Amino acid sequence: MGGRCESGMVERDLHVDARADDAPWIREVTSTSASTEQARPRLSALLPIAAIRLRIPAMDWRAAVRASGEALVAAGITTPAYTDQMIATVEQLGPYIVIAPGIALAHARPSEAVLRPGLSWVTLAQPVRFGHKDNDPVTLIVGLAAPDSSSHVQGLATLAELLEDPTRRAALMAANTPRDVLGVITEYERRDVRNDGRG
Amino acid sequence: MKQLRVKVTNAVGLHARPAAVFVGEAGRFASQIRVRNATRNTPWVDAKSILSVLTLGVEPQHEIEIMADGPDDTRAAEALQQLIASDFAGKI
Repeated sequence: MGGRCESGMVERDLHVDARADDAPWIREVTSTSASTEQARPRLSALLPIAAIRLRIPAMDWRAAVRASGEALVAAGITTPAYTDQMIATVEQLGPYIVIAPGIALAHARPSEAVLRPGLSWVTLAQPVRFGHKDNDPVTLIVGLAAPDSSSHVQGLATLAELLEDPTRRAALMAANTPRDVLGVITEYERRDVRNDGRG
Repeated sequence: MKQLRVKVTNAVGLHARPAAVFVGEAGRFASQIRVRNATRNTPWVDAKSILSVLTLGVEPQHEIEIMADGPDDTRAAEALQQLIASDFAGKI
């Protein structure tokens, strides 16, 4: 997938940060001419294929959040401590992480347990309830890890756009393989680059 | 109709927890409330939907515009402005 990311970036005369050496899929890209938002990692660069898991069995919301944390750990985004922090966040603050019908955005505060910015994508074999008054039951857990305030914000915005689009959301939820999930995302990002009127 | 502009000064912008707190506050009012990221020149979105607010990609120092329309629009817009201006008043 690294090659796919690069192909979209090289056209803009970009500088690749040294951190890319030990994490080729999350290139922190900067450019003298690019605007701030273009300097943020794209969604596909924040979501490694190892962090995508489909139709995972989970008995309850804790198991579901744990699965999303394990996917972050598997991709080298967090340490296992972050998984416990995500569960503790729900225990302390309630089910507000269920941000839309069927979708939970599992996260905790930035901490040392976050090794780099990234996301995980876990769909459940059977929906679980978080106790949210409107948006239960949940089928998709997006795990969010951010070592700082802003590195993930634009990637998260792209994810929210995708999930708000009924057609793309359906395609994402119907995906049979992690590669299919990334395919929907990268197709959308290519379209976004062509049509982006904000630049 | 009441429209206000406010700069987001908290450390993390308007994502995840702050977005949830913002949307929760918006949901307390009967008025229709819309919000846009003026810095990124985004479209207006529903301020009562976390997913919609997340699409705005609001980072620290971005300026957002709040537009409320309804029976309590002035109170709603001012409450949301105050929430952001006070760095979410210890709610995040």
